[in-house]
Amino acid sequence: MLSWKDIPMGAIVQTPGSAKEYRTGDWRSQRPVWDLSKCIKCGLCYIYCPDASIGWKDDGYPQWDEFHCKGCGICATECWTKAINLVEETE
Amino acid sequence: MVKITIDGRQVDAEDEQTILSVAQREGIEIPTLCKHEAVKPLGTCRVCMVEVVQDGKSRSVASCIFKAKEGMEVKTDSDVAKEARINAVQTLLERAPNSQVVQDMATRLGVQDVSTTSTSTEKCIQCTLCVRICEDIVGVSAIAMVKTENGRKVAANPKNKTLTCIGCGSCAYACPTGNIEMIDADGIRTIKNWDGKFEIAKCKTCGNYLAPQVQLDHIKNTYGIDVDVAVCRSCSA
Amino acid sequence: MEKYGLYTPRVAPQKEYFAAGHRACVGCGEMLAVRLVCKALGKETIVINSTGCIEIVSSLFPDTSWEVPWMHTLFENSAAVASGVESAIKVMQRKGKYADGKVNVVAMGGDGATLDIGMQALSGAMERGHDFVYVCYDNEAYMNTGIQRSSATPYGAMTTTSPPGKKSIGQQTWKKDMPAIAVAHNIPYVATASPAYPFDLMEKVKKAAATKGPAYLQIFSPCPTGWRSAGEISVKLARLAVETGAFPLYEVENGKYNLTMDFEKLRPITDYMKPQGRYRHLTESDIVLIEKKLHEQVQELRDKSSR
Repeated sequence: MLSWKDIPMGAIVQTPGSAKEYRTGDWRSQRPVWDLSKCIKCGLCYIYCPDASIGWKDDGYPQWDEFHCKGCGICATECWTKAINLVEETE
Repeated sequence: MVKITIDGRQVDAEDEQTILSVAQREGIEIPTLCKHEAVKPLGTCRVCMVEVVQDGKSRSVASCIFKAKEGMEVKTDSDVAKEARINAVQTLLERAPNSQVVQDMATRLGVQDVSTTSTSTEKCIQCTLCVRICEDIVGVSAIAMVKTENGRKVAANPKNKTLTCIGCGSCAYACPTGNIEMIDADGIRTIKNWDGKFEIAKCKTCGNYLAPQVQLDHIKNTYGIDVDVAVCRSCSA
Repeated sequence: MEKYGLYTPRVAPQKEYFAAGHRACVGCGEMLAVRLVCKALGKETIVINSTGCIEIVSSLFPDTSWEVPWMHTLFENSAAVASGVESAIKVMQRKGKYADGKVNVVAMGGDGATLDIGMQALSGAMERGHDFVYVCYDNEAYMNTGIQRSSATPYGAMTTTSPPGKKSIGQQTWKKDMPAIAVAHNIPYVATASPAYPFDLMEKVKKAAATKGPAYLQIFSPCPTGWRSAGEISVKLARLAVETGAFPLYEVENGKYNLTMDFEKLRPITDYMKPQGRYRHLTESDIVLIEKKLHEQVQELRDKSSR
């Protein structure tokens, strides 16, 4: 347990983006699964993700961040070609 | 891993890493215009020139494409580097003398007088970013740099029998000087630079504008997807 | 319809200035808006944040989602602190104690922090003409403290402090027109935006940051928790709000109105209200009344834009 002596003054955090270490992926009860035959590599799923959990690989297909994805399903709703399906999280 | 010196600092660089990416990692600012993280660099605008000293020889190179090699000494702010950049931006000024973006870059690089008597409204600096994006990202290779009497300009790719542009506007979004004009009016999208006129399809259900018809055709024909893409996101289940 | 759609997200800025790992609800529309705003602002930004959802989810000690300098202020005074930061930078640059160059000073707050308790500080900051951007994330209630009504809650919406029942329709007053109040201060740039149109949003943020003087942005932020809607339709709701006239998109540059997106026929408001539990209690006649008022407001904007 941190005491007041261990915490920096003003509770200032000096590492930008340190929240990246926190596994919000634990929260999900469903996960997006891409059907690449329907993916047109348009990037819409990337721009609409509130948790910035979709990027893309070198070949242009989406790269899913399982560490942070909360399984909200916005990507599946916004995909024009219904390339994303939401599957129950079993882990 | 290789060791190089950049502005007096000894740093590590990965094999095949460009000088520009090493500099950015180290927080050293080098100006760029034709560089975009989404596509491979091509070194067309030459605004990122730096001085490289190797085996006692000094020369100026485009840092966005020049790869770091063991023992290289890089100077990003030397007189050689500055002069090379000024030469580069003056070429761009000749191509687009009244472009605000180019004039601002020239002032930033130390050009004293950016005023011009030219009345040219040309904005293209021939950086080919639009061409690269259309080829690598959109995948339709609809445009290319073509020779005209006024120098090279971006136009419809002469290798295509018909215009393959799908009116997505990614080129217009990425163009550093705003050269590509895309206007939507009365249900037609017009891209002036290559006379593209695209009818904007409406959603089958609600009738709101959805996307240029060529885009919907592109999804169907190129990808063979039989999901009905002519229904907007608000109407779609 | 937005100008950019397919493929343009792949040439949008890739660097995330609002890191993943924040503790927002699943499907939070507000965090999507924050992520897009931060993307548009870039590195040279200082964020001043009122107490609210954004602040608490992004800064659970010792984690922070922010990749730019950020400070948390009291609920009501992000505009006041932003004024101070902007003035301090001006003075320090004049004295040579601060690096030259433009720094975006951005105050962020929710609708409660802006339209209610923060109104005084914001009015003062706008009147004094500081060069800053105020972004109001409008999720239409005090969501952080458990869904209480604010003056941005729309007529008829259910919140814990505007509960519907035999004698109450829910929220009994109409949504406060904050952009109009900002315009009345004669500031150079006022705009509304929605995360369903990300490129329009990012362009408006860039315009606001580049404007010399105060700029006010109101960004529609769907809240699945407070609105009793599914997390996966947050962006859909953000789009439906614009298409039905519940949240029209417009810009006001130096007093000149410009409706960003107009539709030949506005969608029926039930499309927008049905997926949300907070409107479940409304009768048909209530909905007709609300729709009429919203259409009048959109028509007023159309008239102002064409003058």
